[in-house]
Amino acid sequence: MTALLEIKNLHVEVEDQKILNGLDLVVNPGEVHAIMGPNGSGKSTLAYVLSGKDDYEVTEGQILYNGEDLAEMEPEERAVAGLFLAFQYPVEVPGVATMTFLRTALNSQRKARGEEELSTPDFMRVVRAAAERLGFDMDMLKRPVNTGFSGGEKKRSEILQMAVLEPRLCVLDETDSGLDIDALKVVADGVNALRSPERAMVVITHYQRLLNHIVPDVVHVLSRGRIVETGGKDLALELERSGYAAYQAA
Amino acid sequence: MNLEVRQHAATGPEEAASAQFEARAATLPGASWVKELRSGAMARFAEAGLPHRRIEEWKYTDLRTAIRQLPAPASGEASGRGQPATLSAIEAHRIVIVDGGTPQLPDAIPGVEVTSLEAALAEGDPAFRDLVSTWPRGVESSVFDLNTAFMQTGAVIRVKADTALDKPLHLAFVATGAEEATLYARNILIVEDGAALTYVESYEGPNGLAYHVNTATRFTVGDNARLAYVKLQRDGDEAVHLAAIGGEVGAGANLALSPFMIGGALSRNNVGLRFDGRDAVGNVAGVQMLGARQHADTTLFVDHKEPACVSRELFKSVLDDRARGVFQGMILVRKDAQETDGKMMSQALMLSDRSEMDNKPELEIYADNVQCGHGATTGALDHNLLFYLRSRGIPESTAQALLIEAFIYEALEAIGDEAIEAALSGYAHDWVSVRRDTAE
Ligand SMILES: Nc1ncnc2c1ncn2[C@@H]1O[C@H](COP(=O)(O)OP(=O)(O)O)[C@@H](O)[C@H]1O
Ligand SMILES: [Mg+2]
Repeated sequence: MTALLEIKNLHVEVEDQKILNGLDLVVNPGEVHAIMGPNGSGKSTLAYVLSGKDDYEVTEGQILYNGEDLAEMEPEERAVAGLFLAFQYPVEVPGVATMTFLRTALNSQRKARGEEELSTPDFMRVVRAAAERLGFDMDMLKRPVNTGFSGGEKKRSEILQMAVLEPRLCVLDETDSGLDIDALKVVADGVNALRSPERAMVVITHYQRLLNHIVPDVVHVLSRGRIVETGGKDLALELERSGYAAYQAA
Repeated sequence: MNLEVRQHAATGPEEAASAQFEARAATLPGASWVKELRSGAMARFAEAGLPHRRIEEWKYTDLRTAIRQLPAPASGEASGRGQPATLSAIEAHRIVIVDGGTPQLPDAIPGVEVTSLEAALAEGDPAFRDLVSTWPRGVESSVFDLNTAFMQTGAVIRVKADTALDKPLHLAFVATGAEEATLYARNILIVEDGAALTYVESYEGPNGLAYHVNTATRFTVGDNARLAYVKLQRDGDEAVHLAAIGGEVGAGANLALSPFMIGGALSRNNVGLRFDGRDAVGNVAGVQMLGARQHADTTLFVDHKEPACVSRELFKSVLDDRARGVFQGMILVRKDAQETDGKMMSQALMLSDRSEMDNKPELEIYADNVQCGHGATTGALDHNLLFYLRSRGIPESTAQALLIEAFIYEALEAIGDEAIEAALSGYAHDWVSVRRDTAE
């Protein structure tokens, strides 16, 4: 079986500052990996590098997605290939209705894959089903993307996009931050509904509580740009008790 | 020896204007009061010449350098037929003026009088004369004098008190390209007390022809009346478009003025708006989308004469290639205009390193209890937004197109008529698509 994601000795610099220093990670289809780590350890950097943000320079190492080198792919090509990042801080896009955005995204992906674009009614069916599952008010879809949304609404909107786009590798960057316990449950249910044998997830979080709802197969600790420990779901509980101090001490 | 000192040597267009006036004056429409008005205006133009950069308000748009040739006034007989392509899908009462000819008037509209300029100039009660000859501050220039000297066609529209139209009124100017001429249009728009009108004025013409449009629309909005005024300029790529739009707004009235400039090689709008009664609202929301070497200038003068009026000026420029946009805006708050709320904002989206935007917002305030402000921003497309869209699988060119349309959306939204907003969005979309297809 080919790993869905294979990261080998990854070094990344941002503005000449070394952020990731030899990171290794293998994620197979069907698996859910949690990446935990203190603030500033490089979690979001990893997420951005995976989705292809410029300014993030890979100076060493390799990222293989489904056996293919990601370095050669534009952000939109990665999305078409099935990679999705739920942003830690989703941006507001004033003037672009969420509905237009979603339809353009879905149909751009379909077109790029050589599939037929969805008609408006078919698209509406897909969105309505996803929105219902996530308790997402359809009226919000008429509003511009994330504009004026609360922190929780933004996170929910990210998961809605994920549900509509049906990616193969979902990277969730601190999707739990800013959510109250009810919202956390809704979002977690939404994510769990997408779990499948073909799909893998990388759940980045600072706290353990999300992992009560999205139960990971593997937990990694990221510190100073490297994975410093890997274990089962109990590792998260341990971290909750002892904190990250042990990993941060040099 | 007596030396006559001229301030400048007359250039080609200036001499041409005088010669054209001599040739045409006798046949231009109007009773004797109009003839006097014309010759007075022509004398002022002969004295001043075309506006140039040493005149403060024309600093960024030097017509003396830019205009090499002044085409003769339209014969009015070049074609006379033709239908506008612009906004033709919008349900509207339509007045069509082709190649400067006689207006084709719509069927009777209850509560509305529509006549041709020619008919109105032949008579002229004092109130009408006033609308022809006196304008609020901010509009007059030697270009406007040329308009007065040569005004040859146009529409005169009166919406009677408390009348609300069932659909917009569309005045469409069409240049077919049958002649390389100057269209001199003058329109008068009277919205009486308590009446409501959505009015669209459009200009269109062929590419590759250096025709000119010199147009002036004088409006007056009565007490508690509403006027939504959309101007759509889609002239050909070599055209010169010079316009004056001006008028006053009565107490409790509402004016939404939306100029949308997308065509022409060189264009200038002089807009003058005066609040003549208290508690009125004026909303000017402009858009210009320019590429190649297009140059467009909107210069605005808002005169708060009476208290407690609200004015909002929002101007959005999208500039590609070597285009140059100019926005100059002045809000004047007179001594008696207490509780004025005036805000002006110009935002430019620069799609190319070689494009240029010149902003000059100004406030002149003589009342002490007011809320006024202005601002200007220029910038490229936001990288983070582009990345966000691309990370969802949207190709870069499409992401750019979405963001460009989103940028102007706020200004279009101010129009308040969904069909017209959608049509203008459509033109914006076309502009963006052409740009995208060229890039790909
Ligand atoms: N665009 C950037 N420019 C400069 N420094 C950055 C940038 N992005 C991240 N960093 C730095 O990289 C380090 C890791 O950041 P980040 O990946 O956001 O950590 P985490 O998500 O784990 O909190 C931090 O020290 C941060 O300041
Ligand atoms: Mg982070």
